[in-house]
Amino acid sequence: MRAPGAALGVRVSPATAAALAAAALVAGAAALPALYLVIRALQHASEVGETLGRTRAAESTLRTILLAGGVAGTATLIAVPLAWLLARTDLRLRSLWTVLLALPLAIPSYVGALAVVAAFGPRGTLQGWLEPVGVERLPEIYGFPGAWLVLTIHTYPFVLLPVRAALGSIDRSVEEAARSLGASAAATFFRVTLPQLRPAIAAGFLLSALYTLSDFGAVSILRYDALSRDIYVQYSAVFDRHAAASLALLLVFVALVTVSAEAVTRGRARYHVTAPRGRVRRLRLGRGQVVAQLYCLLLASIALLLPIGVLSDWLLRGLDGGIDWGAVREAGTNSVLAAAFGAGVTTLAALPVAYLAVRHPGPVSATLERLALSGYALPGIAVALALVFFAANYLPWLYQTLGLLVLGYAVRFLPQALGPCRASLLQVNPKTEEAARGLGAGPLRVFWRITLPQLLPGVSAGAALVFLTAMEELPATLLLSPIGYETLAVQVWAEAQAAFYSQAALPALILILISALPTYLITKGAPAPA
Amino acid sequence: MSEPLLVCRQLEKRFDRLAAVRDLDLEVWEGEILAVLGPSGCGKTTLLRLIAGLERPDRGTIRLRGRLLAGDGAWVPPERRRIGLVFQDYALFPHLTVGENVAFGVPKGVDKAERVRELLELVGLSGLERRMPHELSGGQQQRVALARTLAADPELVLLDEPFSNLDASLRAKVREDVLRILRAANATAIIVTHDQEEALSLSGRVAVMMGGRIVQIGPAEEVYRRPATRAVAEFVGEANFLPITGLRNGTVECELGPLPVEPPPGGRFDVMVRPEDIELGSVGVPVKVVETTYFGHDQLVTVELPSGQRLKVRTMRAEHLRPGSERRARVAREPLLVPEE
Repeated sequence: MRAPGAALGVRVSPATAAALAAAALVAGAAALPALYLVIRALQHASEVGETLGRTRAAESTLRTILLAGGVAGTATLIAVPLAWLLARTDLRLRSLWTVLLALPLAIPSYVGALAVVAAFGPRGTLQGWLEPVGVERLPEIYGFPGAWLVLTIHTYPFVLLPVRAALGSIDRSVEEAARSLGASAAATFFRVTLPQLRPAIAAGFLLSALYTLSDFGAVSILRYDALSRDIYVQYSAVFDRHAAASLALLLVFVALVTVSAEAVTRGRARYHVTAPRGRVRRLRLGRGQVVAQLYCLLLASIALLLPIGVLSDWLLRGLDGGIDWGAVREAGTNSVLAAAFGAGVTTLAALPVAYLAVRHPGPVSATLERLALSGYALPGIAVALALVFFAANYLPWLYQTLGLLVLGYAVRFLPQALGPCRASLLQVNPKTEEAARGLGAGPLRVFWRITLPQLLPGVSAGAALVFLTAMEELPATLLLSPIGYETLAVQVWAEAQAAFYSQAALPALILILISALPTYLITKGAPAPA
Repeated sequence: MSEPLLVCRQLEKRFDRLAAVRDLDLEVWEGEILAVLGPSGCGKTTLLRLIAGLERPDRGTIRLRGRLLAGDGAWVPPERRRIGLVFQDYALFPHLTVGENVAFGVPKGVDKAERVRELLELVGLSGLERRMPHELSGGQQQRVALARTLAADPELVLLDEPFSNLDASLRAKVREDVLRILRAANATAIIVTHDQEEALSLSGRVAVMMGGRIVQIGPAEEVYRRPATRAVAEFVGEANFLPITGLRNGTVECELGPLPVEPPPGGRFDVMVRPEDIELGSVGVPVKVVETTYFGHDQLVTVELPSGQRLKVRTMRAEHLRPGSERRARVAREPLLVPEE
């Protein structure tokens, strides 16, 4: 008889078999949402077409793609020159701008949307200022313009970070070779540097597009009828479950197409990504310095100063008018509780998958790992909806409990936990475990005394990252938490829609603070040119 | 002869107050292949970058065919110098094919496809136009880099440690190929290296660079046989130094006996003898074998003189000399005096 897991190509110990079983379970859970949407669609195949027609899915899809393209395009146009300024010129206050201009990533999209409606909406700050002057109506901020603005601001760092890193790691001698072959500085940039940046730009562009496709918070607050908003409307207002599920499947499909596009853009060229050699010679901006400073300042004003200023303004007004402190405290407690459970479960789920991938590399472990990573590309609203339906139909004991929310977090954030777990496992030398076995310790004792202590720092860093991300997660929280379980994110979203800005300001500012930390760490972690 | 092609005068370049190149004078003649030899950190790469226009000199001038490229307030950017640089790591454009790499610098008005074909043929890479750089071996990449540089029709080709990224077994072959290609293209070239055998085998002039200066320049055999300083003598090969014990009409006395050397005009000198110039046999000063390293085609023997000084001797004798055995040593070829340090 073949031992369980013989496909891994090794004799399998009981510990490995247990890890294999656990990893298979985790991978199965991660793959469940997409799989369930497909199965459900197949079961109701006859209705899917009709449903999509009735809900005008084609128009929503077009709107979604339009927004994603517009946002990603604008984000790229903003970010590439900025990356160049930061990486290759003598821009003053470089290190300050490097950190500040990556921070918009830390403002959740629904918080950004809240700030925009609180500033420019019909009952917003600007309107309040202009009313005495006789301005009755501001240009419409709802719909495309608002969603485009908020998501562009939120996602341009996705382009900025990889492009800046790529600019820092391009082999300088390649550019020098172009110069000595007769190309001017400008021609060198366009013919040699820019093509080498293509993978980084494409990756950033697609990440920005993917984020926009998947975004639920900003488009719902700003009432732009993209797919994700439609899904929620069908589910919660029209109570049309088939329509919601069909639209969710459509959204998943659009997202997957976007993800696979990246592989296509990469092409045949292979890029030299080594530590940059030679001294970095920065272009002297001269008189351009002023323009560059204004550019950075403008961006920082729109992306950071505006939301934080507007929210602080509304918080101060709320302090005068009375804030429901109890509600904020309760939402805060709920957020921490759900995120903590989520982080713990996600990390535990990631460990066996990472263990197999590191210690028993092969087709089986690679497949399991890929399945576990699949949640990364899926829009949160689609994952959440699939889990709601699945639990309602097959896991009634889990439905309407905190457990379902935790499961949702685990599926969503597994990829985030996998990276650090994998990295920490790679650092544990298996020989230390073998040495412990040789010294008379059993497998459990070895894990407890030798493996775990070495894993702990990396794994807990991963867990902390999941915790912070889960704190600000909106669509899964909205759909999966038990009725009446309100978190900070849900509170911001609900109050923003009710235009109750002073009540939304406090949880929104708390969320900005919470997510600023991992963003700061990501910025620091990205290789920065000296 | 007419004007040299390249003239550097009193060139100086500092990085954070540390002079990488200082007070450097250099002339390169049309059609020659000059080797610049020096230990790592001697400033030879900086010299190439100054000539190519990738660094600005702090002082001094660079002229190509009389045209001022840098210094005295002039500055010609690298793309207008017509000086090609072949980088140590080749610096091929990773996003372009071999053909596109070579076509990059082809001057306007020249048929690109034709020129690319011509050069790939010259470097022996016909048919690889459509490959990407990473699909080539190291030696092939090297030749693409050379073809790319030559395609731009430079007046001067600079090669920065061109063979250092290649396996030792490949190096000699690639070196021959590169020399053949450069000669076939009638190119004037400066090749920078830290490997003395390589510099000498390029069979042109050798400029020895130390501490940011060129300390000696001349034909390979002159640099080897008549090094200007003790440091040069040691850098370009193995050397033994013996103190002078006396002077007698036309000969210099040292522990290896009287040697037929012109006495020095003044100052303090040592006798330098290359290991291969000492003969071990039954004639000469008695020596004791201390250590031998056997290479097959020859052996390197360390012997001890009666005074206790040790000498290195390279001998082609088939007999393996055992440590402890006794021989006599004599100088078989004309030795040289070098300044004592």
